[in-house]
Amino acid sequence: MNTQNQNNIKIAAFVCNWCSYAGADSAGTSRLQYDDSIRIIRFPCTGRIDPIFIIKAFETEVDGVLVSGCHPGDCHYSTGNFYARRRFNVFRSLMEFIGLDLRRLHFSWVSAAEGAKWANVVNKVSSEVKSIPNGKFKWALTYHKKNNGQNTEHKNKKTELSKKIKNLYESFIKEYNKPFPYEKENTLTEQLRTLAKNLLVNNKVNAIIGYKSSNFEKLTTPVVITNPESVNQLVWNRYCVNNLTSYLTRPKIKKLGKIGIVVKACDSKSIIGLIQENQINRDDIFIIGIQCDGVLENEKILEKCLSCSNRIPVIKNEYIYDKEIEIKLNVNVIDEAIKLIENSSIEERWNFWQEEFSRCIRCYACRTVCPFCYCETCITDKHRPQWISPSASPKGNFSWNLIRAFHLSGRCIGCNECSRVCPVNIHLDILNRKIALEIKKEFEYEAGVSIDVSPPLTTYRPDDSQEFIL
Amino acid sequence: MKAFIVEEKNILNWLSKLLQSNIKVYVPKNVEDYSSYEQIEQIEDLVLHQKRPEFSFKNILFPQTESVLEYTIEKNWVKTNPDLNYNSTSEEKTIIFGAPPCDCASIIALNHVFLSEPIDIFYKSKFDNVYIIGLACTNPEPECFCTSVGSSMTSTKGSDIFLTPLSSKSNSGKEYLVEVITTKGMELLKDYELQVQKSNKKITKNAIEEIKRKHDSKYESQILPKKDFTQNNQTLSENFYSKDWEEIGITCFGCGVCAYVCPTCTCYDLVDEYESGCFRRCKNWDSCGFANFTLHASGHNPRPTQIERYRQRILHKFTYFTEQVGMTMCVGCGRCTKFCPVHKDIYEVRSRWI
Amino acid sequence: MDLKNPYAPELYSVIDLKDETSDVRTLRLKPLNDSSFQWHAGQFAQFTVFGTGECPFTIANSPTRSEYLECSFKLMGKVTTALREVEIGNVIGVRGPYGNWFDTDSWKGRDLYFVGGGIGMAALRSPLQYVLDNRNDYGEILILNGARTVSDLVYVNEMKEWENIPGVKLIRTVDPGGETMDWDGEIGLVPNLFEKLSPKANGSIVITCGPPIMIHYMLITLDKLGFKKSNIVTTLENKMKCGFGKCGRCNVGPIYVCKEGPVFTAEQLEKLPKEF
Repeated sequence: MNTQNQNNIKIAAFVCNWCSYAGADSAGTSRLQYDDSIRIIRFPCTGRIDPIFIIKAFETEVDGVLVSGCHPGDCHYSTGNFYARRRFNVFRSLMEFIGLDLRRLHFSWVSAAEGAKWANVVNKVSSEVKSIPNGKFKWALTYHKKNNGQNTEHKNKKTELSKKIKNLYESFIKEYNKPFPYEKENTLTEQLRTLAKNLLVNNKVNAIIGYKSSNFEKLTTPVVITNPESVNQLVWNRYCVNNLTSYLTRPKIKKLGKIGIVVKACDSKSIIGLIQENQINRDDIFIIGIQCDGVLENEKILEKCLSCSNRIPVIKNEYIYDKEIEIKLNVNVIDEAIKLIENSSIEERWNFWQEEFSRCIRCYACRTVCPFCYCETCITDKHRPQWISPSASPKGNFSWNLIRAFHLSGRCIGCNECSRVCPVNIHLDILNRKIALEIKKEFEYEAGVSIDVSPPLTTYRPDDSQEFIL
Repeated sequence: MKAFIVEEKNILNWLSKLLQSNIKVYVPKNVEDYSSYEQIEQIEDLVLHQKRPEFSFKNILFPQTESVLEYTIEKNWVKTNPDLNYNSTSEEKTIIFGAPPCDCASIIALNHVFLSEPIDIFYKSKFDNVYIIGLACTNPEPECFCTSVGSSMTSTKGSDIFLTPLSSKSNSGKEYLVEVITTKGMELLKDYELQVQKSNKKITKNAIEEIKRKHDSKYESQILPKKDFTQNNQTLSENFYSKDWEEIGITCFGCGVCAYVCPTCTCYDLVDEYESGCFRRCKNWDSCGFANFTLHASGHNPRPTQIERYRQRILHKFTYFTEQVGMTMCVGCGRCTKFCPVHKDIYEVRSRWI
Repeated sequence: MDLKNPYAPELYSVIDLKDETSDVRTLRLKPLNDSSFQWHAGQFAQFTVFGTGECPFTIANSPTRSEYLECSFKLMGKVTTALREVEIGNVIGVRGPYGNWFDTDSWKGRDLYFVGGGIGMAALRSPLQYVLDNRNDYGEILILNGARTVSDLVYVNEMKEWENIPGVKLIRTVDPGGETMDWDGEIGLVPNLFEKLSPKANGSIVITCGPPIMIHYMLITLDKLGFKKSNIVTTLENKMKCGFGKCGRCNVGPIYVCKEGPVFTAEQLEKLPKEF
């Protein structure tokens, strides 16, 4: 090994026990020289390497990360590295999108016999890391003495990019926020109440989750109805913004037995996902699809409604509709924003997301409204070990938001509830959509379309793309 | 204590004098993605009578994350950082200018928690240096219900100095009734003189009340109808086992938005964190809505579902605290209603039992 | 003004440790600096494992033996796991004492029943020691100690010493199935056993601590036996962070367990909502 390390960099290598670790061993026994900036951490399999480990490594200020395992087909557990390949493909594009210099993040296949390859890979990775001009890597800090523990480096320092995105959103809303023909709301409400009453009276369901009007004219609130006498609380109108399917996985709701649920076309997709993930039983729910012409919050149409291409629920027992109104705007402001970000420089992207996440107050509203965040204990609540810093500091915020987005990859159906409820308006919609697009491109998969197709990260193809792997 | 009429331009002059003498001034401000109390550098950045900010100034006195202990571990020894002790001069003088009465009133609840024995020195050293200049509310939101919790658009509770705009304009421009409420407010006026109208005669108590009554009546109709949430708090605890809680709580998702935007929610968490060779004990905001809040290490949770957790929130605000302190731990700002992902309406819930 | 940082612990050195059971350990601590740490039987303190965090434990020894500080803890969560790693000579942090205490003065001249289940015995150890150190002030003492199995019984050696003090009766019991071949104590649940003893309800005090389910049945049994609610004393536990009534975690109804508690009479408990 080199005795002196001029740049004093550190690279964490997550390696599988069976191939790459043995490969490194063989490089050692063959007395091959390679860069000494590497720190090896051994895992049973690349399939066990969770992206949170990589995030954690960057948090502790390593300058680069290398993940290395067996060649496809050589996995000791036969398929672990196939799953890992898909996972890292997505994770890598997420990191690229948020502005991480990809010279810091590498993947490789090194077998037990390839001592020489190991030495080459390590040298290549370290030379790439060293070639980054700004030298030492800083993820995000937890602490800044001047301002009571809060790092204000990025706070409220609007980047050019964020101004552009803000303008983009505003111009889209302005252009497309034309009054939709909503006049059938009352008829639909009536039909909904009749159906709900029938279902409850005939014991087809034990409860119905729907919307009711609130004290405020332009807001509705979810309601769980168990008594047929109370069906008149149910309403359907343009202010029914919530995705009610998030309730389906709640223990309290599950205890009620068979549930009827009111869904918009977009929400119905999450039911597909929940069935795919064995969270709910198709027979335990009665899906009441309802015609939706777009929903409003604060008198503004939601972005997702602009790009809504299929207004008929994908899965349903009943569909309440008047005459099908064909409104296909199909303009996707989020996609435009993604293009804007992708066309920006790596620093701009990094600063943009740093600023976005620095606002996060860790209220976890994004998590609680998400139909797919049903884990009994969220990774951020786990403290043995403490994966994610619970303080609302840039470091914890950054890791939390990234891992949240990653955990939804291939699952998020784009209901955008997370970004709707965010009190500080972080663009979670962009992050989720970006991953969805990437998944579509790489694995030809779209979440919430069909129950019969396996979610992309729970399956693999032997010929999955691996151009990014050394 | 003292009251007089001042022209708007004189108030602004006074404020810019304060700005020039290195006093931090926070005002309600829009920062694109949300609005909160932000520091301004020059008087031009001030916009009077803005909409009420989405976040209260709670985080200036009680930051969302704050280090309360620093230590390093050396071989079998622990070194704590002695800097983190009470020091009333360590914090810079800070003025919070133009806060609506609801936010000002929250100070009383915060003080009750943090200044009772044992005193939270981190809060105290900030509070000692904060001057609150309230401004009568001219932009109530539809979710507001301050009149129901014993406050009003012109309530001076919690302010050091309070300003009420006069509806009649004099020739020289907009005028304000300036009330000095506390000795702290007095201090501030003494140190940085405020130009008072020359023609100013002493204002009678009645005149002050008249001005305020006028102001209140102008805006009362814009908020939720007045009910009395300060009395009969027993009814809430009597209905502790009511079926209604089930219906209310079952749709609560259990995020922390309501507590984090609330000006009076003070619950916090203590965690030891590590960064760059140093451990820090951080005092972080927490919420009774989180499942983790009361979860014992054994797995037992005294409040196992959102039903109990939401009930706890309401009862703590309107019964437990009221019994001890004599005021509700709610200032009627309606922020929790506004930000709730499912639009849960605290006013409606409280109204069920009065 | 000179105010102390309420979140900063005093440094203590571990001078002794003793494994009570496979998962319960007692630490004996000595302050490193001159400490004015004065406590009453029943109070608790926040113990810091530096680098990990804090955890509240009841102070397990009596103020009459104040040359050191003891705490017993059961291996449970993050902090207790780290506390198991602490060795003799290591430094840990202690801040406190917090909470209220047993009203030992009002017990004077009365018969006392100490009923503890499992690790709940730790909360009874301090008042027990106090009472035994002032033996002449109190009447007859009965200690009823229960646990799931024989190997879960705590303070085994100390119990033997206590048993030999005149006027002290000790009964130990394990849940059915928890006994060993050579077990010479009782078998059965604590409340049932207590009922069988037909204790005299009039004027005597019951001090009880244990798992929630034991307390629940204990209160029913005591009611049946005619004990006055104000003569039944127990200690509650809840998740705590600050320890002095600010952080809001241990709030039950109008009280904070850390401030108005942890010692409550059955009379007080009755008025609280069932959220503990």
